[in-house]
Amino acid sequence: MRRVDRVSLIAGLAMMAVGGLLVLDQTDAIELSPGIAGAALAAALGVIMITSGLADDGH
Amino acid sequence: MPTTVARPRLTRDTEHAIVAGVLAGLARRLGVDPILVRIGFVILAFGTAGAALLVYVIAWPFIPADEDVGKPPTRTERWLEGVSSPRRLRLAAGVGLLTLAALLVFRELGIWWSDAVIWPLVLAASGAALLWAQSRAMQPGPSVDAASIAPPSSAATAEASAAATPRPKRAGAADLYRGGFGVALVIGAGLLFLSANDALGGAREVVLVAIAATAALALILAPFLWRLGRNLAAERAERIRSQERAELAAHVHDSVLQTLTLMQKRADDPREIASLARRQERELRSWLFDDRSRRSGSSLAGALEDAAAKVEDAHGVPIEVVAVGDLELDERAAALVAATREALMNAAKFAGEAGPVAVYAEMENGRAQVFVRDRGNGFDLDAVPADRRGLRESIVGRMERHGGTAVVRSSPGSGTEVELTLESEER
Repeated sequence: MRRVDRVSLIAGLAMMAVGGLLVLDQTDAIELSPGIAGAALAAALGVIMITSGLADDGH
Repeated sequence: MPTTVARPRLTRDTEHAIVAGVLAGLARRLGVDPILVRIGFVILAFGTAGAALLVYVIAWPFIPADEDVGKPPTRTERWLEGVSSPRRLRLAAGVGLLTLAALLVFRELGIWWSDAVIWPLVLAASGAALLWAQSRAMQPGPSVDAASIAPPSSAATAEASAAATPRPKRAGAADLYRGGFGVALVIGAGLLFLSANDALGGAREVVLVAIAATAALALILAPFLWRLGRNLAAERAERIRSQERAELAAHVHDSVLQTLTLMQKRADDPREIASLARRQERELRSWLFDDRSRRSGSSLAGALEDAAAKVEDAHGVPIEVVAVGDLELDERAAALVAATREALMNAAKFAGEAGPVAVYAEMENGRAQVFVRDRGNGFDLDAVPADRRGLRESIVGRMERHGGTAVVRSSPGSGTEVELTLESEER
């Protein structure tokens, strides 16, 4: 069975979360200020970078 | 059983390129027609108001061209490798981004002091962290001085030294970029702080004066500094040459001159003289050409040469070894070396008086073939007594036990040839 690439999985989930926030903002379900949008994007990128850095141990 | 076909690596297909081959390379990677990818890209470019074009331009330098694959990395690739590959740096960037996210959230929640103070502080802290990491990386650690153990004036050695120490060069370039980035961050933080507090106006004149004075000084001092740099480089080169000469003199004294003295003392024994000369030749060649893989004990060719040298030293019979190619010294290869040694011992014992013994070894694609030839009287294979186990067990039997073959060709008066073959394990 093919192994799951954890970095890709986490990156996909993080991007989906950011995309979800943007969709909710576009549909006026929430009001996303530039600061919060930037924070969400930075957090998503940070999680991806940390996962990628930690994943190097397993390779 | 399912079969998997490895997809080609993503490279720019310059042969079928319209601009830079990014889309053609992507199509090849995905296994679809490039036209489809191009149509999709045009639609995407319209749909994203041209943002896709920006992605194309960014991807251009990051994706290597077909003809660049296998070449030494370019400066940009080295920079990217230096900046992006270390795991520590990615973790640090991740922590930094999460901190930034937290700061933005605090700012939105109103738990905040002032933009004019916090952001310059964040920038300065990031720059200082990079510089601290940089200074820690520059602390001296244990290192192997390849130049100190390498013989001088040898192209092969220079290549070996360069191959043995590639990392410091790359690491040095990456460290420089990182250090420069850290300095830029700290300076940027200072400027941002001054600008945010309206203090830059007064400082502008001072900065302009400093820049003009620096430029004038640079113009005045440039020729002297340039000459000083050249003189220092020349002096360093001369010092290195002088050290090389001293090392060469020491080695020649310790090896060649000592052997020549020994040869003068043994002038009445031609075989001993020949043996000493050949031993010295081997040692000198090994020192001059410095083949590290052969000395490390992982090379079949090196092991064959070692075995021949030992038999030559033990029996005083010259053995000429020609090795083409090389293989890793695994268990089967070690058996081949042992069988070759036995064949050489026999040749040295029974045919050593007739002249040098020749070893020809050919090793490629996992296959190894060794010929051991002597110019002795030869023998009748059928007349070998059954209790003589050297030939049957140590050569033929040993090769067969390890999946190889041994063929002995000899007849009285025509010398002997032993052919040892190890086929590739994949067959």
